[in-house]
Amino acid sequence: MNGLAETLAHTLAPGLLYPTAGAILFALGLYGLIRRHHLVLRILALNIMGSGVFMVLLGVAARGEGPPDPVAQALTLTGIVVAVSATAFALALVVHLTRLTGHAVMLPGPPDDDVPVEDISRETHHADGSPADPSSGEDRPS
Amino acid sequence: MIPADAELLPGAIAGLVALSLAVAILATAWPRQAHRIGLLGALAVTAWVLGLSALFLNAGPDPEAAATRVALGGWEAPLGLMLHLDGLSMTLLVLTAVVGLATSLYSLGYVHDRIERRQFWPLWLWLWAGLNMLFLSGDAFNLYITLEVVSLSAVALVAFTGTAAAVSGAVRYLLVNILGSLSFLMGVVLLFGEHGVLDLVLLEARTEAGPTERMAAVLMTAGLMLKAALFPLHVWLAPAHGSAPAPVSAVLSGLVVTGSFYLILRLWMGVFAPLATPAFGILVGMLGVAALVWGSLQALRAGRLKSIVAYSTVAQFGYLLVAFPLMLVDPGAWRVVVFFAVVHALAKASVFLAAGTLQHAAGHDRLADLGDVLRARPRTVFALGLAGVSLMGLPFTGGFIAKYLLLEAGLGTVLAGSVIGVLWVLAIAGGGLLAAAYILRMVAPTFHRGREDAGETVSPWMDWVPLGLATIAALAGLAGTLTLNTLALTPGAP
Amino acid sequence: MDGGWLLLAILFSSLGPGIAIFFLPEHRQGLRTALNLGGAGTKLALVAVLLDGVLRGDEYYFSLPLMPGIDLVLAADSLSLLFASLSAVLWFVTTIYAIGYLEGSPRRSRFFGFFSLCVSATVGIALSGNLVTFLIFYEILTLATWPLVVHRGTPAALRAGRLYLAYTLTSGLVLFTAIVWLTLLAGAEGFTPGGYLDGLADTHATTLQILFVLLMIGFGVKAALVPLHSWLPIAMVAPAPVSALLHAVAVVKAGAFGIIRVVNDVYGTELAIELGLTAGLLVVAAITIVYASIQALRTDDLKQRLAFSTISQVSYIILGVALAGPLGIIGGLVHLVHQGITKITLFFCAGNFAETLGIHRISELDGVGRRMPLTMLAFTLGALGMIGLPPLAGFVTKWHLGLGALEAGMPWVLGVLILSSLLNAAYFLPPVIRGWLGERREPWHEPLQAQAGPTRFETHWMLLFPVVFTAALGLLVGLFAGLELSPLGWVSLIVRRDYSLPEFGL
Repeated sequence: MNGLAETLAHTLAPGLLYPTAGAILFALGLYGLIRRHHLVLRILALNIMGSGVFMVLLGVAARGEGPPDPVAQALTLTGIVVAVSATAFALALVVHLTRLTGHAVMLPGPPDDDVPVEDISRETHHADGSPADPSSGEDRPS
Repeated sequence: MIPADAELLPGAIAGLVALSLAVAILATAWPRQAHRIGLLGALAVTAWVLGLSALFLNAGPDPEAAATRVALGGWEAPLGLMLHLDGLSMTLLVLTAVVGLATSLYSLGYVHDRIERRQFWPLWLWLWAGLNMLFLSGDAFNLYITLEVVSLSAVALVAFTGTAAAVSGAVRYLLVNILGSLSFLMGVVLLFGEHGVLDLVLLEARTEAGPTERMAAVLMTAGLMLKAALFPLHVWLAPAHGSAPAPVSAVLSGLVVTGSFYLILRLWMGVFAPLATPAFGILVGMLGVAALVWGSLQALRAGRLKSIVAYSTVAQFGYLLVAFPLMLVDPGAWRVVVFFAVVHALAKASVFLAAGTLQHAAGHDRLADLGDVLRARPRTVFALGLAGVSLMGLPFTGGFIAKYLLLEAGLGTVLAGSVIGVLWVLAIAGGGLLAAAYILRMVAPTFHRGREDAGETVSPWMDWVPLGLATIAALAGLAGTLTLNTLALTPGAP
Repeated sequence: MDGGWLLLAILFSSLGPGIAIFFLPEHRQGLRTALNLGGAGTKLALVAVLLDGVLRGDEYYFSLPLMPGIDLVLAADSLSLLFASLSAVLWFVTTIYAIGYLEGSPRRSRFFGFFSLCVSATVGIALSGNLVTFLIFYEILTLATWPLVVHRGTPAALRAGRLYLAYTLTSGLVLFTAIVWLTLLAGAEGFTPGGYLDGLADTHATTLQILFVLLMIGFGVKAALVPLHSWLPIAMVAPAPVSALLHAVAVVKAGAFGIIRVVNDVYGTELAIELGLTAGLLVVAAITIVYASIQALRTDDLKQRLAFSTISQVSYIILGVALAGPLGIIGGLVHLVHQGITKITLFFCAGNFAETLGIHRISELDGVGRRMPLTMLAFTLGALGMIGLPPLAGFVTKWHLGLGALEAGMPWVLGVLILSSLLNAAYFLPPVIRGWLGERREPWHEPLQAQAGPTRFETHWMLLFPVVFTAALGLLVGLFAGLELSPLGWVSLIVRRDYSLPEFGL
């Protein structure tokens, strides 16, 4: 009994609790990323992984004596900024893809011989303001 | 002269970062003029890099004298950010400048729509700036940031044609990249937690073969392998590289992938060097052999020109993995590996540019229906063939010299008594044969009897730049000694 | 670097025009012809200057660092000059022939571009000063000939091209590996008469034997040693000038030249004998000679018969080298030249028959001697030369090979020579007899006249002149073999100067 309590108390110390929880979050996110197909869920999963990384970073900063390491805090902040912008970009892409295909999932596999290839360098591409091949999509950023 | 050059170096390094960022920012702020800014910027950055390399080489031949660390804003590590230039980064900067300039010139012809120009050029300039910073970063966290700059602009470049296939490919590419970056970051965090520093040189001095280092090594290497599309984490590459616009494919396959590989190499030569065991080396080498075979077979099966080229990247990167066990036996072999990567990047970029020209002319890149255009465009096919010869590793190209040195390292391990070395030698020699087979698939229709149809007119840039770059890739054979000598100016490396 | 510019100039005299021709539009026929002939003429002149210089004892050497410790080395010794002058002379003739042969056909810029590249590679092989340099030009030759083999673009041509590449690239890799290995062991030494591997003989004997086998596989494919020869008879679908190039000037010769270099200047004959290497090579060469001759008997296609004859004849060169005595080596080296001149004549003749009269088979040759007497005469001279009738070129070769066999104490080789001469007669005499004595009942098809109008001579002069020239050359080198500047004289000089073998007399 006593041993378990001690272990628990030891585990709950921020220096170990945060990294452990962070690692669990990281693993959970990875699982979600692999298992889910809806792209928004996948992006969420990536964010969960990211949170895991930041938790580990914060826990690492709190370990040891004295006040937490300011460098780690700064790194976390920077990391969050990067993660937010990457997420925003990913969501924008997913929105665009959903508009084009009607589904928020990726097209299957590598492009095979039947998929029409979009070539932006060809004049015909913009002859009437739309792509050369009507089947390849209509919504273009402009 | 020598002290003067060495004194100029720090300023020149910081100047390169500032210049490439300034060009990118200017183009973003002024999208209407982006292509003009881009062209001038490309020329300026290339000139700057070449000047820097002259300074760098003049400051040699002592690696400690030539390699330079610059503390940004006067803040030294561990607190401040360090820029770090040595033989390895110098070589890759020059490579980036050459491929970058060629891609920029090619894009003048390829991206001609006003709106697309505004989207393409800023993104591409950010990518270039990101690569330059990546090669100059000497700090693990900063590497993460630059990796993200490179990845995000690369993803945007894949997506910017806006078709469903392109956007889907971009989303896949993005997910893979974020996953890779996060894995890398987790490793950085672990290292930071253990040692309290981020600067690579300081880290290297403190690391030993402990459990934290092992975990960090696994996470960072896996993340970077994912980004570098190293077997078996390569599945995303062909859809992304194969469906992107030609200049983007060229940069992705030529530079971005090489950038991730550069990081792997740098980490394993420095921070993780104590972790490399022979058994691990054999495992990596096996992966390389599998990549060679699998990538080549896919390239032999693929029906589209650009898919073939994309799969060939998977195959060619197998050589880099095969070289890993060789480096354990002969540590000096890392320079050969870098030279191989450089030559591959040049050749692969020219093949993609040539493929883009053919695709533009024909309106598609289905190999089965491409014969008419191939026959009518001997210049482009010649570029394709010339760069292809370099990929095969046949003379007189850079690929040959690289293959020679790789084979020499492989035979060296065999002579040193390693039985498994025979497998590496067979892989290195036999891979060229597979490459010949899939390159022949692309070139052979030119020689069939049949109609000629030049297809859509092609701008002179698109006509000549692939040939020019392929010629550079071929002549890179003459720069073998120079490259190896430059690489020797890397302090701490064997 | 002494005199290195001359070697570079010889290399670029065909490389430069070749690259320029690639970029010429198809219709610039005059300029293309001028570039072709200008390049060929320049090369001929430069080789003559080089020949003169080497005779006076000047040293020519060019080197360029390629990799740490390994240089690209061009050097002119008397052996390289033998091959260089042969290819320069025959290239000049073949260029004229090719211009006439391809008149009016499409994609000539591509053809002549690769044609020039091919010859540059051959001269590079001739002038290579070490194995790595040799390998570089050897592989360039492989790549440059492939477009020529598939030039016609027919399914048969493409199949031949695929087979050609499969054979040559695979063997090229074997060669590549062997050369890297050897260089790793012995360093990037230059070719040295008498070899440079003596220091390794005691410690690495087995390795050296394995390496020799690998090297022979590497060179043996191009030299068409049985059982590595299958590509050659199939590659004869290429246009006649290409066949001439493959069989007489460049590809097959490059393989044989490589074997000569390895035996004489890398291993050295003494070491090769000591390790038992020449004996094996001798047997392979003898088998090739007899087997290919029998195969030649079985085919009715004229060019295919010539191809099998090439396989057999090139092995004479290797036989001579493998005899490893001075007389044998003289026989082998001189056959490098004699076979080239004779075989190119025969291929030109076959091309003339095909182009002028649409004849491809031996059974169609009846009475062709009356329609095309000069070509038939040349063919006869070539065929008799191959059989070895005195005083033609082939006789000089066989005489020395026979003496060499006796000198080496291997009389059974004499038997091989006699048997092969009988077989030569058996497959070369029928076309000659048919040509002169046969009767043609119906009128000739005249594809050339139908296309280009009546010709002044029996065929286009650009097709006729090369045939007459090389046939006369074949006669002259046999008749005047005693002169110092004849191939035989030159070869004897090489053997005396380069191979410190005991004195010998004829």
